[in-house]
Amino acid sequence: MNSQMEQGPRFRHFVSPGPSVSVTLDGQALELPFGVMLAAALLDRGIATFGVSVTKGEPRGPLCLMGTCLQCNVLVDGIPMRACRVAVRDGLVIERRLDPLPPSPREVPRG
Amino acid sequence: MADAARIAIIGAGPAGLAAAIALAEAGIACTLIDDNREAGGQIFRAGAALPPDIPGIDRRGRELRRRLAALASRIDHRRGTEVVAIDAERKLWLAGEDGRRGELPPDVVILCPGAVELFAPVPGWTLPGVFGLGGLQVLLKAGAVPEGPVVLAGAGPLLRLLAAQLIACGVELAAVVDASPLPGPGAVADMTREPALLARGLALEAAIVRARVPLLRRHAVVAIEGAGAVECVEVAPVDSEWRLTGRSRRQFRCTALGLGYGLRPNVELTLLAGAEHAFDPALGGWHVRRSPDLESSVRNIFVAGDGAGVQGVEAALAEGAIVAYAAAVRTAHPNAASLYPAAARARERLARLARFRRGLAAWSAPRAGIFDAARPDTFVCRCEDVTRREIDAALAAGFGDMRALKLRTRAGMGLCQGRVCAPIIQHLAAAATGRAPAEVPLPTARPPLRPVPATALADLPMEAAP
Amino acid sequence: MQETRVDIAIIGGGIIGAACAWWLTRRGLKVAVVDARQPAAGTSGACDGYVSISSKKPGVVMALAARSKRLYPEVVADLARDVEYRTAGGLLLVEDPATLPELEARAAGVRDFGFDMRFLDRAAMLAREPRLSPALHGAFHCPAEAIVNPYLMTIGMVERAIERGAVALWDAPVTGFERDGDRLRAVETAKCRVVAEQFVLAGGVWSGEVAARLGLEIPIVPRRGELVVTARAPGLARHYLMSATYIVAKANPEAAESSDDPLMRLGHGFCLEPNALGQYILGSTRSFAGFDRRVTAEGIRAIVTEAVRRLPALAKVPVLRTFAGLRPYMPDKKPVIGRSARVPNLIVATGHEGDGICLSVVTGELVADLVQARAPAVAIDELTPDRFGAALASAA
Repeated sequence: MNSQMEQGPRFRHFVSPGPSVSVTLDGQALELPFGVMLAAALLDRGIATFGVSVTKGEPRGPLCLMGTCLQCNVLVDGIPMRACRVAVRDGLVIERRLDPLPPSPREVPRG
Repeated sequence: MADAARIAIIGAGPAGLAAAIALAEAGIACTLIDDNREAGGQIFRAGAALPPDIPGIDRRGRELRRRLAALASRIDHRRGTEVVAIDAERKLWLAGEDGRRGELPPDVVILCPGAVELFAPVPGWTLPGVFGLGGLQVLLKAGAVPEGPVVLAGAGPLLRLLAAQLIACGVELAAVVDASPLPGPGAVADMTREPALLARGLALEAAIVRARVPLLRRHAVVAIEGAGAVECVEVAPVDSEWRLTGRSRRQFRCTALGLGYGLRPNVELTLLAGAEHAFDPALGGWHVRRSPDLESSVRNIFVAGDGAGVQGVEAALAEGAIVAYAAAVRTAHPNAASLYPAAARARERLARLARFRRGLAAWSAPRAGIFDAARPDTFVCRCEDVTRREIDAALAAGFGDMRALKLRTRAGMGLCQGRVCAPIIQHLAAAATGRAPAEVPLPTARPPLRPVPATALADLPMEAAP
Repeated sequence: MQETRVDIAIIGGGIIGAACAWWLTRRGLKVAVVDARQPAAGTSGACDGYVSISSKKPGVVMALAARSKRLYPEVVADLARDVEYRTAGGLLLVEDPATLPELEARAAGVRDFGFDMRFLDRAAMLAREPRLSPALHGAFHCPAEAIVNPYLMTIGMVERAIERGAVALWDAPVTGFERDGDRLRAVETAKCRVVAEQFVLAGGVWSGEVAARLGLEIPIVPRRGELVVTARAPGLARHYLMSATYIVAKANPEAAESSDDPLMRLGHGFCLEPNALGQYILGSTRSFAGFDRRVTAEGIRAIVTEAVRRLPALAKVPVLRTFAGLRPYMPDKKPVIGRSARVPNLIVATGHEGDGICLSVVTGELVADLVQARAPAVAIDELTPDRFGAALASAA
């Protein structure tokens, strides 16, 4: 994993979270507390970058955490979902989009 | 529960919960639809069992959820259910995470869509580690707080509440940056109408002072810096219209920034239903027009709570009682009269609260200058990477309405569909064309209300999905 | 009231009016475009951008499409703006082998216009578009077909015309006309009076009402078409995709209306445009609902269901929004392009239904030819605005 992607605020849980379960993030195994909001669980692990912006590829992370801003969208078991709306459970396969989505090459027709 | 389908309540926050419980306790069945798995909305959010010394955690939610559970025979609570669309004939199109899909044609719909946070873009606001004030509070309610130092910036009551809460959790705050000045005498007079609420606010401010956290009034964020994530926040004074003056800048190192300029009503549902809207900065901007019975311009569609105009949790609870009575009367339920006394008391409470909110808005509702803090290369639309420069260029070329700006620049056409940037663009368009924000109508709303996977809209068995 | 004097006044700032302005200014004429709202505020901003030949009705409409496709690159190049034009190629998906003979005849017609169009069996189709459903029998491939962003194309042609001296009057609904005998002298708008030698009516679905004020009968009807836009998910499909069954059915609309198939009754015809950003625009339905631009649950469900059936990988892609546009439908399914004998200095260019984006460029050229009394590039006698009235009323 790109180390730059793991920069960000460290979070801590002041309430003891539940038992840990195994998930994968971008193909790597990770232990996260069961039942916790996925976005909070990832932030707890120092993961603040949830993807990159579509054209410029700049790091983006959760903003509103209320389901409105869609900035925390990740692929959960292959389906794009808001990480603020997903509870951690065993075996989640989480993928972040870490490359921009460049538009199709345009043709510049010669008249 | 065939009767439950006659009255549908959308949104299980304070207003929706209050309405559903009032109806059910009066023996009137209803359907309560919410996209969360636990009722409560943002204010009464179910979450971690928090230590008792954290201020301002509203513990009434647990009691309401207990009553909701006890009324399960009269309240068809559809959890995790997205409303894809609503039309002027009140037909609801639902998509549940449990795969329950379909349409509901209630006689009366009560919309309680709540509020969303209002942002004003500044350079660097797209960096990871920048959260909404509300977002940080959601995390706190989930039991997670950032390791400090943290800067909180913006305006409105949430700024102080969150500051006091983080302090109580032992988080180091580098600064609290408030664009508002000290409230004027008129605002103070209005706020004294609710002495308990005012006292609570003053106690929060006292907690900030006691913790020796710098509280900068009439200041706002100029820029947020960091390589890959927030490292430093630069602030500067603002003038009376909240425009940055650029003098005497100060920098604060931090690992997280909470940012937010108050709340605005979540108007997507009421726009989709075709209801009339009006603009009032004191209510959070665009909001649905309502009759005294809280009915929108579309007959049999009622709206209650912050989603109709931001007035806070006490008003939302009061409106829940009012709208429960109105819905019972409209469906001619024989038990309607039993809801009248609570509704009458709620009306009196609302009148006092309105004065309080007027004072609060006069003090802290965002002024237009704050939307000018974006520099030319600052992203306005975070989803599609559209900069202030691109918006300004389209405005200069004469694309002044929201639809044309969208199609021209793609701002608001990404994943969030303009839920973050539409109010910002509205202000930029108003300022550039010399109009009041009220003269820049919102773009048309179209289903789905939120992005949903194609399968959720398709008439295919779920297993057919690859 | 202010007055503007031009050679040609164009009523309508959609893609047809924009193309007329582009051509007329290129030929050195002074033009004004007037619109009740903004450029592409109506149908041209609520549609996809298929520049197609294979889907057109054989006959004059296909001939116009072929000409338009040849002209498109030249116009796009002149705009010197990104209008997201790509020669992506089109695939007509064959759901039912029974349609093959009719499609083969259509392909022969397309080839007669000089464009390649041939059948790909299932393996060859999947080699081109690997994510298509293997339940399909194959597809007809038309490599010359293109995709453009209709909104940007409209804006681009208008702005280019303005650079060449055109005057644009937005938010200027037509309030009246000034006549001089049979002829028109001026069009009055809410903003300005425009005096011109000749006039072009390119008002799309709103043309019928304007024409009526001039004593012309253009029986144009708004036909609502719903569309669905997905989030970006590049690479699921590269060609413009369309249902061949639908193409065949479109040629026999009466059969479709009495069909047992609910999709046919919704006027559903599957199409999918991969746009330049990696989103998919899924279509479409056709229904008569007046000027109502709201979408319907049944229409959206049909569109999404049929798209996922043909391109199963779409299932997990988020749907971002839906919208509907009003297609200018003509009862005889042919556009109106021509000069009216009843108002000799008025040219009508409207009624393209779902073909306006594709046919805009050739329509602009034909209008310019008519203005300058040149022989038109395509014979369009049958598209005359004077074909309606008593004769048509009895036929309808």
